[in-house]
Amino acid sequence: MKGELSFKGLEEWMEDLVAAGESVDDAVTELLGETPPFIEEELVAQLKKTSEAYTGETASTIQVSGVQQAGNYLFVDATVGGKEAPQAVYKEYGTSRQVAEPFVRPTFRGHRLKNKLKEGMKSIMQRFGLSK
Amino acid sequence: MTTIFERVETALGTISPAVPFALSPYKGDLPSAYIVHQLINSHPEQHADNEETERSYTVQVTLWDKAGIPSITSVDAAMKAANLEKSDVRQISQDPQTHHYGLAVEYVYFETQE
Repeated sequence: MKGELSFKGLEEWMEDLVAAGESVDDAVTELLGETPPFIEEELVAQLKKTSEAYTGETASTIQVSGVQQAGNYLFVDATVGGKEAPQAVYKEYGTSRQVAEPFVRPTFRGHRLKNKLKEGMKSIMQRFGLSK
Repeated sequence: MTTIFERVETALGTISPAVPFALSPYKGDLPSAYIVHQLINSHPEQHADNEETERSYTVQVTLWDKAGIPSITSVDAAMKAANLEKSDVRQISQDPQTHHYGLAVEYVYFETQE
C-alpha cells in the first residue's frame, strides 16, 4: 500500500527559486530529504491513534525511501503492509465485518505533513536569503 | 442542515434495484450483496474573514458481493446526483470468511457555508 501526497504551493515556491537563480533540484532534494522521518513518525502516530491494541506489527513494515529521481520527477516512496502484513490493507479499507481504520490516507491528506513541508520550504527560502 | 451521513444514505436509497446499505460496519447477517459507508476525513478547504467558508468530506463507500467484483455504475450515478465527486477506487481482497468481494470507492463532497 502506497501513500501519495498532493501539495498546493510547490510550483509557486519553485518559480521563486528559479527567479532567484537557485537550483530547484537541489532545493527539492533538500526538502524531501528532511521528510522521510516525519512520514514514518506520522504513519506510526496514526496507527497508534486508530488501534485499540497497538502491537507495532504493521508499523514494522513501514518503508520510506530516500529521495529518488525519475527524469525531472523527484519523490519519496512510502510503503506499508505488503504480503508480510495484509492486515494493513484490512485496517485501511475495512473488511466485510470490520470498519475501516484509515491511517495511510490521514497521513498523506492531513495537514501535519503538509505543514511540515511548508516549514521546510520556508526555511530553505530563508537560507537562500529569499523573503518567503 | 443535512449531514454528510444523511446525504450519503439518501443517495444510496435511490439505487434501483435496491441494495441493503448501512453505516459501517454492517450488523447482523450479511446479505450476499450490500454496501457500507463511512466518513474517512473532513477538512476545511477555504476561509474568509477568519471563518470557514468551505469544507470537504471524503466518504468511503464499500460494495461487497459474493458473486464477484461489484458493479459500481448505479452507485456512481446516485452519488453524482447527490453532488458527491468520485475519487479513488480500490479493490479489496475477497474476504476468506464471508467470501464477499469488495470494492472501496471514495467520494468527496464540498460543503459551502452560506
